[in-house]
Amino acid sequence: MIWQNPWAWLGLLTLAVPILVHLLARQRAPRQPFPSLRFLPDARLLTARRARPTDLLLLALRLLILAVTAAALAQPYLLTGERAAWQARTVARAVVVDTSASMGGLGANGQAAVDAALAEAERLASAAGTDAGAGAGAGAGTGAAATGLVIPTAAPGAVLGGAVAWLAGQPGMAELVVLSDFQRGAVDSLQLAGVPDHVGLSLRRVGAAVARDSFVWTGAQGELALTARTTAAGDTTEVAWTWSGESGAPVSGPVVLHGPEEGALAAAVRQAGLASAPTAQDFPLLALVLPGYPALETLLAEARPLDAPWMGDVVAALGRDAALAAAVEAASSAAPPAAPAGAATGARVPDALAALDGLTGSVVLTAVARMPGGEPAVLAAHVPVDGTDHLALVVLAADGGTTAAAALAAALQAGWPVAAVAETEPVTLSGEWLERWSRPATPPPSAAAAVPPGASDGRWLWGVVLLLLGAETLVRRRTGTLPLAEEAS
Amino acid sequence: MGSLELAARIVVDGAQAGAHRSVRRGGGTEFQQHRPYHPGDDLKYLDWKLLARTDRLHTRQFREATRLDAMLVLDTSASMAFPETGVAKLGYAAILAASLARVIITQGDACGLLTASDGRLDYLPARGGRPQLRTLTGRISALTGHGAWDAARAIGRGAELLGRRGVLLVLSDFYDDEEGTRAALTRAARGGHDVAMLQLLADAELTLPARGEVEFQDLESGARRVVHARAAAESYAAAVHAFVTRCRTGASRAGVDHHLATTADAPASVLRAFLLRRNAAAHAAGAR
Repeated sequence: MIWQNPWAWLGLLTLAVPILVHLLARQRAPRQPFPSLRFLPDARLLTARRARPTDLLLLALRLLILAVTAAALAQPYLLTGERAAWQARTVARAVVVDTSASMGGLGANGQAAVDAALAEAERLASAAGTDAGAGAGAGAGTGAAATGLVIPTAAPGAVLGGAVAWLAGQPGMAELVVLSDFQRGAVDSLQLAGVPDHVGLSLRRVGAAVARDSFVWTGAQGELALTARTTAAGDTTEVAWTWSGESGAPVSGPVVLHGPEEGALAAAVRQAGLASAPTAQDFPLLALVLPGYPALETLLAEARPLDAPWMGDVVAALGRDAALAAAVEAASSAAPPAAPAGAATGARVPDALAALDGLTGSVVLTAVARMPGGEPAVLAAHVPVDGTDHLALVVLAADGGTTAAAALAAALQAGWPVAAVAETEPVTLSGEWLERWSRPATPPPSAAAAVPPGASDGRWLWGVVLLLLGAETLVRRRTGTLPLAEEAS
Repeated sequence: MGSLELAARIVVDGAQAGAHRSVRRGGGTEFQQHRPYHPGDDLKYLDWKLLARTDRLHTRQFREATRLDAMLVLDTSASMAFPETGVAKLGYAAILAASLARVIITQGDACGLLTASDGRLDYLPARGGRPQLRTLTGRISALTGHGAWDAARAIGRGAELLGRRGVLLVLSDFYDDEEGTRAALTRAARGGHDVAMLQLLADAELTLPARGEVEFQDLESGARRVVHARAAAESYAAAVHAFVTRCRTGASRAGVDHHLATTADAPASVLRAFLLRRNAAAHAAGAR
């Protein structure tokens, strides 16, 4: 027996009502004038019974009515052999179709992989009793799909949670099918771990017939031309980026401008920033100005507002970067290191700001990170470096380079076209992994989840309630008892 | 004509009781029978002719032609107001009393009324004639059931007011002071009165029609008692039956005529049965 609405059993608390009414009703017996009490039995004879409820048959009927009503509201479902067999052959199926760009390649039959995947998904979702398992080859469960849902998405791993939620509301067993080319990153073990154990998993590869082990992607970021070359190398992918300016000449960066005493610091900052942005080896047109840079005044004298869109994107990303914010927070409490004589920085921040204001004469510098007190920790400016315009990040925070490294890393990651390049990922999840993750559907641990929607044997109990109500009315009329509501009032 | 008077006429007509005959025998004018002479008998009633024919002494007896005085003693206590719906015992008793008064007065006898409630006795002397009948009927129709009554006192007072030997008709449920009532009835009967008790009960008193738990309230004392009617019905009916039996037995021992009527009985039938029974008793007594 499955109770689909077990909370309804709380209705049994109402059993106390008729019990109390029957206990208290004696004390409110209807009064009847009578010629003489001499022939009536002594009231003391009833004293022993006073503590007991009156009309036990009526009380029993009323208790039964309430109990059966609660049971009916709990929506019982009797799991007969036939119904159990129905459950065993009924599978609710959610089919996740990878529609990312990588699925645009043509398959062996000349059809785009994504189209083939969608057609297969429709077949799986609508199949009822005719297919013997969506992913038989991948170890999926067998059975007819009672209900099916197709979820097209460019990020299969991200929708697994939603698919599982939908399956949880479906009767019968549940199966989750993923049709994808399974590029690395399409789904991962962490996402699959969120799928309940009883939900069958079928990971079916539907991809281009010819796997490409290299890919070249070109794009633009502002006035910069960008080329990414991806190459499969074993189970990893190497990506080589090439940036070119308006002249078409390759550029390299970033440029770290520092004082004579800051050579080691500059090397460390560059190393740390690049390490935090592992694929951004050649980010162009970025100048990181450390506090001891001697030509800072000249540099800032030629500063211009941030007029290139990509610069705005980078600066906006810097403002959202958590690592940079944490570094600035730490720098605010750090003691300032000894600054070289004559340097604009290394002194207190307000002094440096005053010096910069005097140099530029206008608001051309943008604070991209501020200390808790509001003082700028990192400024951004559009400045020429070696004759080429660069986005210069001027580090004011005197924390020995932590803020500078965080600013560099954040700038290298900002605006990076990761998604587009990811679609060129030639390395895919191996069939061995897909096989390992796949599993057949099993009956859900909660039997209630296997009940078809709207199916309940409560209607029989409602019939019983009606019969009991009729019996209660007959008994009440025979004994001359008031209805329960009137007795209670 | 009031409604009670009309009801009494209908009841009497329905009863078709016939003329009432005096139960007293003696030196009246209408010969009734002979009986053997006993020493001390008045010689003027000796039948000389019969003596001459048979050589046996017989005395002639005549039906008494004197007026009969009857007193209706009516219980107007609160218990007589039961049941509250339908015909109450008091209403039923009023119809019977008015009917009896009509029977008595229309055959030339006298009838009086005595009611008692809360220690107060209301008395209407026994007289004959239609004005008395109207007065009696008016008094009876104005009666209401309230308070308690002292049965022994009312019966005793009724017997005293009759003066000479008469008919004492007591209409009541006889719930109050069973022993005292029986003693008063006995005294009245031994005093030479022809005493009859008409015991009136409602159907709801013979059995408990109520269901479930009922709080019964005594109409006279106001006392309350919670009783499970269904459980108590059997013992109650037995107790009432025993009570009625005691009344009947006690009346028989005291030489009092006892007649039980319920409010469900037709008054005409009750009246007819009552009069026939009394006539039969009178004839039996006359035969002795």
